[in-house]
Amino acid sequence: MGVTIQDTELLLQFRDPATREKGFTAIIKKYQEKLYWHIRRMVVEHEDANDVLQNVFIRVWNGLENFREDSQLYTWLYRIATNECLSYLEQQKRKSSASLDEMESGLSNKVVADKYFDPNKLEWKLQLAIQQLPEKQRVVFTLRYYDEMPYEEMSRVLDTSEGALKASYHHAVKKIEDYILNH
Amino acid sequence: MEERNEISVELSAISALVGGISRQTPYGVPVGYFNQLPVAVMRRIAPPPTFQVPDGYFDGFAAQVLNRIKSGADELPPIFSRISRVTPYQLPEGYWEELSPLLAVCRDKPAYAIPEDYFDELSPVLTVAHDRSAYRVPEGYLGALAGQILEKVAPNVVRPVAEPVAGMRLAPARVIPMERGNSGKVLKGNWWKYSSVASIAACLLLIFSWPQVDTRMGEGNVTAMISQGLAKVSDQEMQTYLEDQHSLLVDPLDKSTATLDMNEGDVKSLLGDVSDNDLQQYMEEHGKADDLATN
Repeated sequence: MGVTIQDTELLLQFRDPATREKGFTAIIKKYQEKLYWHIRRMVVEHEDANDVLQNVFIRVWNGLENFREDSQLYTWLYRIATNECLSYLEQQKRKSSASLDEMESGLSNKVVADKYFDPNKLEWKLQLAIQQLPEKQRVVFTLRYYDEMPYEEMSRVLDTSEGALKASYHHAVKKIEDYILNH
Repeated sequence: MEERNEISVELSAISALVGGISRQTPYGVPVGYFNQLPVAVMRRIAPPPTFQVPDGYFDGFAAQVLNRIKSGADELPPIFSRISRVTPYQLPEGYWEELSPLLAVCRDKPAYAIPEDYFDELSPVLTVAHDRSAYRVPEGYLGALAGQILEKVAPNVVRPVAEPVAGMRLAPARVIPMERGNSGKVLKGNWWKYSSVASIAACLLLIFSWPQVDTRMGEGNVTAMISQGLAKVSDQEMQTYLEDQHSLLVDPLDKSTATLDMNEGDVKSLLGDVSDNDLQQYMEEHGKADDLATN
């Protein structure tokens, strides 16, 4: 499945030097929230999510000229956003010389530190449970659970087979259930 | 829509608990964040336009500035020519002196002074050692220095006897006895003196008469001249002379501390205390006056 008609028009605007900024602004406005929440669920804090999101769109600006349109535009954008998230988390890990467990506890602390945090609400417990998942598994769960992304699209985003993604999603749900039941 | 139903069914099949949780992310977002995000991104991608400079502006810029300087384009407006360049401000008389009397007094006084005997007290060791020479000269070294130098420069020249120096071995001075002649008479000092003078005079005769000898003459002619000179000396005088020189001739040369080589300076030093009258008298007695070579 290729780009939608609307995405095609945006791409044409972008590729026209006279309307490049206009077309790019339109792309930002169309996908900014989806990408933002996808990133936010991974990094938890707004400031970090803002930094990662702006980096994503700068990379889009630099690479959109070479977009082959063999997949949907949002698939390509999600791919960039996911890679930027994982790179950012890896960078934070190197800066703090923290282990995987320490990173997870650090993100859990950030969830707890959110000014709207309510430990009695399931949606907050769900967020804490998500931070206990490995990074790749966390991406699979959030893309499927929150973004309702088909496994076919998800396989292009993560460059992983659909079967592996299904299994990963299944295990992720089970872990989250156990966490919620035990906390 | 169909996809969402499929996902819900799948989730409920895995966990009814998780399937029943709201999918609303509970995190908050600053108000107006998404409105300003495109502008923030574009500002990072495409900075705002700066001032433009005409093409080729900086080419020849330096030459333009120099031309303006040379043409005087930066001269002052004409009105400035009517304004005097003299500073109108004036200072009261004696202003600087009254400004700081202290500075006026201190102007000619050196600020720094050295306490008396400062350097002497600075280092007592240096003060004591100031007049003491660190080096020492062996005793008698300077007195023997001239003889040592002459020894190396002219080993055969008669040199003055140096003062004994440590480590220097001197041969004992040879004492020439005043021997009796064949006649048994004891030779008196005057005779010794006059015979010495005679020998010296003979040598002088040879020295000062030598330039008169024609260099083209052969060795035989020189011998003839010497023979002519000796013919003027009586036999008795010659015998006396030879008797006086006997001891010197008999004694081996290695026992002699002096050589017969004498230079003009030595002759002058030996005849320095002989008056001309004595010398004249001697020559009248033993030779022609015109053969006398005096000082």
